[in-house]
Amino acid sequence: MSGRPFSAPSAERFERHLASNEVRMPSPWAVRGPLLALLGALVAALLMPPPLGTLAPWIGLLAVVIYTQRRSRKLRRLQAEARLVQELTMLRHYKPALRQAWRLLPQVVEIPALHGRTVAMMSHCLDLAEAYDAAIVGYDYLLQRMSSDHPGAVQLRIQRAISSLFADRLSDADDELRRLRNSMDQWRDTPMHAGYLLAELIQDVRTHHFAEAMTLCDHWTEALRPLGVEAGFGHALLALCHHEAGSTEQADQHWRWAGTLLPTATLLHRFPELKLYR
Amino acid sequence: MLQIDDTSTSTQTTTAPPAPKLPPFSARRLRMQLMVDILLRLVVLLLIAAALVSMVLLEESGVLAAVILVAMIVAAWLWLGTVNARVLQQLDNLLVLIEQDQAQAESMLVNLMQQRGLMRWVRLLLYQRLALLRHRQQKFDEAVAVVRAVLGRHMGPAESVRASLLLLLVEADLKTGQMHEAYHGLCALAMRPLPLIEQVQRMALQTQYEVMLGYSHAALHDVWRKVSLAELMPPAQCGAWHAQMAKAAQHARQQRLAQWLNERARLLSQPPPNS
Repeated sequence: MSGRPFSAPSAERFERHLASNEVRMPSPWAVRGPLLALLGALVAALLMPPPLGTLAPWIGLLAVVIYTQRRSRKLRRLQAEARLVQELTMLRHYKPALRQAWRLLPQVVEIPALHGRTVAMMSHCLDLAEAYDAAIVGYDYLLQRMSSDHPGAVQLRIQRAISSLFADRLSDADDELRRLRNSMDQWRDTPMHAGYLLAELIQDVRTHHFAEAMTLCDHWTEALRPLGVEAGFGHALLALCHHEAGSTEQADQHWRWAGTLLPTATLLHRFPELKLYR
Repeated sequence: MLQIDDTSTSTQTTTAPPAPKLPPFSARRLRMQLMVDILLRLVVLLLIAAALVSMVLLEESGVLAAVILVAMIVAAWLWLGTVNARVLQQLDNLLVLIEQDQAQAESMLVNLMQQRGLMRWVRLLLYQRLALLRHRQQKFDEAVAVVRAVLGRHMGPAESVRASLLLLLVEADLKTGQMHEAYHGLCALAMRPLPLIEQVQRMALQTQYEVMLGYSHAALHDVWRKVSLAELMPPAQCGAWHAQMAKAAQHARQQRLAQWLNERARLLSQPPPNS
């Protein structure tokens, strides 16, 4: 790994990288081609005098075997690299993950599943690197290529809305959340519903609608639970809302829960407005 | 009218064919299936060899003979490759079905198991899915038998699922209270490099093992690294892991840690109804 300091790519640069590495369906010739070439070699062999004609079919067969093996070895290597990117992202090592994914993308343009996964990882890493505009470019790229009712698409739209809120694109986020609102009932008790509630909570806090935020849900602990430790962000924002409403006891309780799930430094870094409460 | 409707409904219910089920696992059947697969591939190879020999004997060693032989090899390769590729393509769908609809997963497995001429590792991957299905159906004894039969064989390209089989085995052993076997499984897992998700699963099983046996200090060793790994689990499992760790902390008289872990467990997962 080079010693250059990390800087997240701009939205334009990421867009250019995606445009120049657009996914394309694998060519049918990649599979059929070698067999047709072998067939051609067999026909040609019939027209050649021995010993060239006798050797040609065997040479053709050997070439096809070598080509197939190299192809499957390459696929296994790319899958291993994509898994490494995924693991680095899960561990929140977003800088090496992003570098690795950036290099991997041009190599997986003909493998749609790996390509989609790599773009999703890059978008998530950009989100972690606080390059929200670039992350939105990635989410949009994926959403344009998915059916709108796919569970993955719903998840991406929620992430996109959250990134828009962090990028201060409030009306953009509002449109996205409004579009999601009607379909959210079917995802109750899932991470998607919890993610949606967190997005609404962030929106209300960012627009100083603290009282409205508290009425979004009756049972916040249960509603945020599918988010895992990230529910801590929700509790921290609720602490701020209760603090603004003057209910100190509830504010302290939510803040304690937030601190139980996530370190205070992480909470304050993600939501600097929490310093008002602290 | 009403009677006719009733009859038609009952006829429909009685005539619906029952979903096909696999017979209970037997190591002998697995051995037989592997043998049939090998024999079938061997027959194809022998036919090609016979063609080669007969051409040499008939002094037909010219261009035509070479072309025919290569064409035969390619045809055999394509046939066997297609059979195996078709099964391999279904394996991911099968994994999804095992989580969502076990009856359908079982009938799909019945169909796939009937294929002949499979590569050894493809057949073993099918049995790995069978072990997973039985595990989800809480038929731990059968799951363990399948896993042991598969692990006892050379797995070739399917070697990558060995760790997930070992995890399955340890989990089943812990569920059935076979602590000695669970220990051996954990040792085998500790000696292998594992992908991140499997590292997390191994850590969770090891914690469960240590808590069940009262090895609280071992469970609490390197607790903060374990906590950060546990945070990668789905919330319910993560909460259950925290509850186990809280038990260990309580046992080790680390009250503050126990309280923190309990609070996290409560926030991450629904407490069981009887607690």
